[in-house]
Parts: sequence; C-alpha cells; structure tokens
Amino acid sequence: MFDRNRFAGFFLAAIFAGATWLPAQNRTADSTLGQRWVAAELRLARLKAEAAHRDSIVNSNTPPQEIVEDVITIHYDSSVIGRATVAVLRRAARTAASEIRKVQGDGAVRTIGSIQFAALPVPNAGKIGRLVRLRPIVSRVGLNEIVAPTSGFGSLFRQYFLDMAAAQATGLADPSLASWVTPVIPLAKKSQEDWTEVAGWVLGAQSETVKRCINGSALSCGTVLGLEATDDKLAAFYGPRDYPSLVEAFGVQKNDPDSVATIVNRCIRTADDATCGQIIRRIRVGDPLPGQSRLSLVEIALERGGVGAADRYLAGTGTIRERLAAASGVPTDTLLLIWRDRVLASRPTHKIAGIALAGFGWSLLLLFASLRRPKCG
Amino acid sequence: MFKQMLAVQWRFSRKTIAAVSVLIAILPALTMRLSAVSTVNYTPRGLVQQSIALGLVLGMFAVLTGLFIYESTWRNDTSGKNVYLLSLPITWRQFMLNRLCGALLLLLLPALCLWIGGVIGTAFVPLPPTLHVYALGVAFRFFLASSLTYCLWSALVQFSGQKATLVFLVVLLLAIIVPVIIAITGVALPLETIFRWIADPPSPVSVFFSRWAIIDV
Repeated sequence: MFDRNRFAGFFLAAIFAGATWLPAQNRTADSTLGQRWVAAELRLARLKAEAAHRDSIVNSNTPPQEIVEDVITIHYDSSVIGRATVAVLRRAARTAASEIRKVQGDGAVRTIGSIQFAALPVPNAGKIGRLVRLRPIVSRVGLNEIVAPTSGFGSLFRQYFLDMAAAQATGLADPSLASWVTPVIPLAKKSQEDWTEVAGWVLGAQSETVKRCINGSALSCGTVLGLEATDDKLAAFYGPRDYPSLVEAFGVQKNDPDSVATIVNRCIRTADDATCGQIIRRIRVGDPLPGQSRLSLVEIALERGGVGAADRYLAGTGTIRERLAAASGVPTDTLLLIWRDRVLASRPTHKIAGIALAGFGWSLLLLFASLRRPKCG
Repeated sequence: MFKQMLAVQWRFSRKTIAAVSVLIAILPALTMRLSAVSTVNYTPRGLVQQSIALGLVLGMFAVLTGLFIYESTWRNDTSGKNVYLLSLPITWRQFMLNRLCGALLLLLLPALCLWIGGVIGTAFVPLPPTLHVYALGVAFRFFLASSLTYCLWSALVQFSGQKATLVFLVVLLLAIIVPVIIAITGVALPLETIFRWIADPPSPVSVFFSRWAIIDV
C-alpha cells in the first residue's frame, strides 16, 4: 500500500531535480557590470553604424538607387528598402507628379525645381509593420519627415510629396504672396468633394460681406478673400446682425469686470444693435473664411490661364489682384465672379435619385430572397 | 386579402408606429428649440451642424423603426412557428408579398410624420437665404432606410440556421485573413475608392451615408 520511505525518496529526488533549474548564484556583481558594459558598447557601435549608413544615403552624390518621377526624386538603399515599399513609393510619386503637372503645366520644373527625398528604413519596425521614413534632402523646404507603414498608405505618401512640393514653391515665391496664402499654389486639383467643402465654408459663414459676395458683389468676394487691404476686420467683414454670435463665440474673459459680462449676456439675449455695439470693439475678430478658400481662387485662375499661368502668377511683381489677372488672363472681378459661380455650383448634391434607386433595388432583392417558404414546425 | 392582412399588421404594430411617429415628429422642433439657447447655434454653420447631428439620430431611428415594425408584425407568427400562416389558402409567395407591401405602407407613416414635423420644426427658425429646408428629402431617406432594414432583417430571418451561420463564418474569416494577407504582401489598398464604393449608390448602405440634414446649404 502506501510506502512512506519510497514516497520520501521520490520527494527528495524531485527537489534535487528542481534545484538544477534554479539560477546559479556564483556570478559576482562585478562580472554582471562588465557584461552590461560590453553589451552597451556593442549597441552603441550598432547605432553609430546605422546612423552612418543613413547619412551616407542622404549625403551621397551617387546613391545606390533612385526613383525619378518628373519633379520628384527618391533615393533609397535597395538592401534595406524592400521591393514592395519601392513600388508603393514609385506609384505615389508618379501620381503626385502628374497632379503637380495638371495644375502647373510645363512650368512645374521652373516653379519648384525638383524635390529630393531619402527613403530610410525605420530600425526594428518588424516585417509586418514595415515602416519607411521619408526625409527631404533639399533643406529649403525644412526637415519635416514622414514615417508611415508602407502597405495601404500610398495616398499618404502622395499627399506628402504634394505638400513638400507646395512648400518648395512657397519657399521660392515672393513673401507677399506667401503672406496672402500658404502654400502659394495648389499642387493638386480640387476634387468635387473639396469644392463642396469650400461651398460649405462660404454658404455657412456668418458674415454680411460673404452674403453680399454670394449675392454677386465682386468687391465683397475680393474683400473676404483678402484681395483688399483691410485694417479694420470688423467693419470689413461683419455687420450688426453678426455681432451677437461673434460676442457669444468670444464669450466673457477671465479678467472682464461684471459690467462687461452683463452687457455680453444682454447682447446675446436681445441681439440689440446698441448693446452689442458697446461690446463688439473689444473682440478680436477673424476672417469669415478659412485661408484655404483663397487657394481655390488661385486654382480657378490657373485653370483659366492655361499654359504658363503658374509662372505668370509666381513671377509677377504687382499686387495679388494683378498677379491673379495676369495668371488667369481675365480681370480679377470677372475671376471673382467665376469663383463665386463655381462655389454656388458646388453645393452638396443630395443624390436622391441614385439613393432611391439603390434603396428600392436592394429592398426588392432582399424581398425576393425572403420569399422562401419556411418549414412547418 | 391585402386589406385584411394590413389590418392585422396594423393591429399588432400600431402602438410601436404611434410611439415612433410621435417621437420623430417632435425631434426636429425639439432640436431647434434646444439650439435656440445659443446665437452661435443659429448661425448658418451652426444650424447645418445641428441638422447633421439630428440626421445621425434620425438614421438610428430609421433602423430601429424597421426592426421594431418587423418584430411587432411577426412576433405572434414566429412564436407559433408559422403554422397559422402556412394553413392559409394562399401561396407563401403571395402571403409574403402582401405582408411586405403592408409593412412598407406602415413604414410610410413615421416618414410622413417626420416630414410634417420637419416642416413645422424649422418654420420658426430664422433661416438665412443661403440655407434651405430639406424635410421631404430627409423623410424620404428615413422611409428608404427603414424599409431597407425591414427587408434585410426579413431576409436574414428567412435564411437563419445553417446557411446564415456559414455566411457569418465566411465573413468573419475574411475579416481576419484579408488584413493579415495585406500586411504581409504589402499591397497598397485604394482606401478612398473602397470608401466611395461603400458610401455611394448603388451600395445598399448609401442611404445611410447620404446627407440627412434637414437644414442644409
């Protein structure tokens, strides 16, 4: 039956066997420190080698490989950037270059020269989450980097190429132009969705001047798009009807006395011109439209102007009005009205017919699918 | 026959329809009333944003309305395992067509209420000339979305059992395997195109992605 001695023997044997798995205690603190030192030195050497390798790609005049797509050049090392990544970069560069050409025509090279990037791998990114770092070589456009997964992010790279080309063009342009709109030139043509967004800004703006622009005043359109000199933004853009919402959006500040808070609340509640007029001057108002809406005007000007429009726009020396007129080949007021018409035509479409067809079509299909006779019980 | 079936459906679902209709009829007016506390909400941009937010709620209500009406009209039959329905002196196909047409008629009521509620709710809002009321368009979307949900649910219930499980498993497997394959092979997906394909007609869910704003530019 139960053999106590045998059980004790097994128990002791198990303890000894388990003891062999325990960590050894014969290492001294000194030897641990020494090993850590060696490991740290090796790690440092490896990091230095990686950095030197990357710098050699960036600085080398004859890099190992390069992708040249029109105005975009990408240098890369084929030993560290895989074929799939190269394919994604190539496709993105090709699309971006063609979009730049669409806007700028043959003037693209003259406008932005060429933009060069070094494609660098990101160490320890792993195989599935392959990452690549794009670094612009031309320092004029800054040292902004992009790190992105290579799979499924071709559009991100394309946008990056476009942004950098825009930055390059802006860097080369006259500062007065860059202070009016940045980037100075749209690098890609606006899609219908982009124009719908612009229409949303314009038609949704709370501004008397924008309303006059919508009603057909070219002067008002020029004012809201920053073509007229405006020292007093409040007077230029807003009317008494806009005051309550401006006052409410600005709110009561921390250091305001109680009397100000009372007037603010009364203005919001009653929308009385006299009351709001008392408080409106302490508000620092902004432009009614985002700065990007100006870029949509430039796009129309380049579209109208055709070949060489981008060059005429960038190389001009006059006011923005004159540059736009030179680029488009039509008077600026006419251009502003064309812009207004385009904006009004870009209201969101409700696609009711398509949705109705799709909805009823799928409902019918599902209806037929559900005509199957069920089994009783 | 259709009249009798419609009467039965109405009897079982009238409480649900009444509750949903009243709720969605007052929602636009309620939203506009709540927005009125702020002048910023009454700016053109503010009004459009409020309407888009209301549209999201209405979209969810459309789905729920489709499901509720299905559930209320079919509850008794499914609990009785369709024995009564199968004993009726008409073919199953005729029966189903009658019942689905009846359901679509019933689904018109909440949509109609939404249209009237939308017109009344926005009538007292001081609209700038750049904005317009699209109460009929939103009501039509509501009707489409609820009908689609009803038909989809109806088809799913008819396909329930092994086939539905198989379809579900295949979809689940694809949802797991496809991203892994994409990650390994590094294939660049045209995400924008895929989104457009899902959101635009003739996609079945395009009605949910369309603009549901009662007040819009």
